Amino acid sequence: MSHNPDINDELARRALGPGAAVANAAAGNAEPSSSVRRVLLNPLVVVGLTILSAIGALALLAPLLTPGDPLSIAGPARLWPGEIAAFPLGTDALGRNVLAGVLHGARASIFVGLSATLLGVVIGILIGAVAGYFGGWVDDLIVRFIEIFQTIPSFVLLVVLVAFSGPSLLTVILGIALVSWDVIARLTRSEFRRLSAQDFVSAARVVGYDHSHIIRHEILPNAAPALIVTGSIMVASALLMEAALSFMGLGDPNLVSWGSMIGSGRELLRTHWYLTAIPGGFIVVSVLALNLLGDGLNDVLNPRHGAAGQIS
Amino acid sequence: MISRRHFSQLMLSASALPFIAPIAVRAQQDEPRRGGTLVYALNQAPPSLISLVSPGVERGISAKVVEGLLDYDHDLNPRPQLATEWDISEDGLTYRFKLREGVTFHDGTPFTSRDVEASIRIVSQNHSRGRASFANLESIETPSDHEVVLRLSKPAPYLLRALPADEVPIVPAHLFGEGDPTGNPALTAPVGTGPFRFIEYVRGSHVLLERNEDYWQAGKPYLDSVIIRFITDGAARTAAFETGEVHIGGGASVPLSDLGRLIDENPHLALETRGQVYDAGVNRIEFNLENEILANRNVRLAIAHLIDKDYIRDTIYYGYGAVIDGPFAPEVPYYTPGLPHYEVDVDLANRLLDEAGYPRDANGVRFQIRIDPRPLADTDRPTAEYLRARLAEVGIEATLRTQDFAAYVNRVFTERDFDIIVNGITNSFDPTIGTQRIYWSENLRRGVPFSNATAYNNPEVDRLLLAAAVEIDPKTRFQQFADFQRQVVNDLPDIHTVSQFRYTLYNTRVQNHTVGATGINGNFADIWLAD
Repeated sequence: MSHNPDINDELARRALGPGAAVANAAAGNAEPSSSVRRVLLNPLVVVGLTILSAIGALALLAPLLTPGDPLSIAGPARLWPGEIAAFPLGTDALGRNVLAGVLHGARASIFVGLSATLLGVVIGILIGAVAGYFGGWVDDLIVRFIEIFQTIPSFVLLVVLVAFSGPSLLTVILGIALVSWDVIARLTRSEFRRLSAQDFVSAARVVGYDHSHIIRHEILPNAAPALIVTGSIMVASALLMEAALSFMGLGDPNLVSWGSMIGSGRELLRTHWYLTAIPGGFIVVSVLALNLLGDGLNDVLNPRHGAAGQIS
Repeated sequence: MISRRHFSQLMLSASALPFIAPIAVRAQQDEPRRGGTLVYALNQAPPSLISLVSPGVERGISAKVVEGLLDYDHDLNPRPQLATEWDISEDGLTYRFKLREGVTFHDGTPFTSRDVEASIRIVSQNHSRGRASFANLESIETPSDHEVVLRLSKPAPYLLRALPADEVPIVPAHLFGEGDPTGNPALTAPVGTGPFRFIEYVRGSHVLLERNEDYWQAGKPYLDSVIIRFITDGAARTAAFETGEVHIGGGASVPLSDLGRLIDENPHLALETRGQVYDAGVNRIEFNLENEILANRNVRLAIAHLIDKDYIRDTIYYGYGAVIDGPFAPEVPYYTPGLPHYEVDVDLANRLLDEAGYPRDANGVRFQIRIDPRPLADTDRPTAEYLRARLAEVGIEATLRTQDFAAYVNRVFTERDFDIIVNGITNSFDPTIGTQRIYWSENLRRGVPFSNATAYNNPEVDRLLLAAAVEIDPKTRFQQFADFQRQVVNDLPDIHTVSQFRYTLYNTRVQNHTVGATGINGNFADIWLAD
């Protein structure tokens, strides 16, 4: 639970970052391939992407590497890693293959992380864009609404939402999206407020483009870098939230995820610590990789850092 | 070293005696010693401290302060406590008790038959189990200060076992004179005749009891005081036992996953499995017979042939508890061995499902089903996960649903929106009180938790249950319950897996903690601390 405030602070700090220079860069039709190259040359991004691709590949190959249902009882219970060659990472309290759990769990964890973030970002952008673009009483109303979500401790709200609606993949994704959209909404709003005062937006208005066109084609592309950086951190946050929910027994009981593996291994922590340590290690590495990626993107796209300023 | 599985078998069989004898012999070489403070851990803090109006966690505390009419040996034979003699008329309708003379409550008032009358009246009207035990009670008479007569409308063959201190506590009538007993302050500051007097209850922390200097059993109790600590976290209780901070705890003091390690690593900690008769229970997989698919006995039979109860006991219960085939735990007096047993046979299960008219479709799936494990016990969800894995092997696609306890009770017993539940029930001291509610067709009552959830309705079972409820001949009654068990196991409204493993975990300094059927829920008058 404690990760949330930290990440929110981090997001808030970054939200102030990507500024005018980026906007101008995009507005000035800077060569897109050059900024992509800059991003890919950043060592943090490279390390982060490499780790994430490796985990992604394992997740994709899970049905080939460990065929069958990862929830099936595969062998004797509580085997240590390496005790039997067939189970290189051992078996859990019921005799399920830990390797199969970790690989298939990667699919669930990544799927939840990505889809919850995507949903949260879409909701956040829609609401934030309307507030930031139109301003006035619409803005006031939406900001109050966002503040309601910001004042409720997000993980507590998430637990209540999921417990109330019954734990399943869908409710977990919806729940995480519902407690994380507010960060994106706030960020989008501030970007839109700032950008809609810019000359190129005024120009678009003069030309006669409608609101929807201006929002989608003029302002949004310029706000994108900030949103991408925040989004990458949100994936890490969603992954942790899913793990925490599963740990508390509020994950989808029909799906193996890293969090659910930790949750069911917790009881055996004193005698079979590897049941907690192995999926825990995967969570740590994934969250670390996502943070590296976010930091790298921030370095490249944030104009306050030297290199980024040169994009324009 | 004896393996844990072997160990638990030993403890549950009659041959347990030779194994535990060395500990017992060493303990009893010394004479009981006066003095010392016993620290006793409970998993939860109860709303009241005596079990006068509810049979909950308070049963662990009640008897130390407030005594009952009778006490019981390990075979449930009654022994005198506040009643010194008792007599049942031949028709089983009149119970006469002679009461102990010269006993006073902790506040100095003498104990008389009026206190017994008031206490039984309160229990029979308020206590959920007491209402069942005294359902046939017609009148209570008090011919003299030390004589009580209970008159019944129908025989109640279980009544003599229903009177231990933690089921029917005898409280002073003058404190429970008028008004609603459930709000009476004496529930949380109890006054009784027991070996310990109540000193203080610090909510969320502990209860302090001190030696009753005027106890009617001269020389007892041996302890100066008892501290009852409420430790809700399992890992914290484990640590408290390891450090010696807590001396004794009952029920399920530590997670089963910790128990073996704890006993192996700590020579000063030991297990006692006797003294659990009043809490014995069974774990079950129940079918909703109103579900069209599960109404087919062949489908249930197929599922029965998939479940490896030895695996459940060894893996999910860490080798503790006994594999059972019927609705009674082995500790229960009417337990019948040799019931029908369904061997694990996947081929047979597949064949039965084919014959039942549920062939596999193109994806190999026969039908879909939902499983709801009871959210209270650590073992029910793994059992449900095991069941799902086994069902998948024969093409039954099962989905687990998890929810909190209130939602579970509402879904199963009120909305009846379930297919299979993983559940557990306590047998209690008699099948009429503890088991009839599960299988009697008239107890299919919406909104009543832990009633007949399966919607089981077999007139023959109803007849046996109702006949046994009023049968005073012990042999006939035993046969009725044996027939009942066989019929239930044959009909398969549910599958019984493993008996609930309950135990007393104690520091080897604690002597004489389990001297009768009520075990650690007894009065602690005999407990003493060795060096």
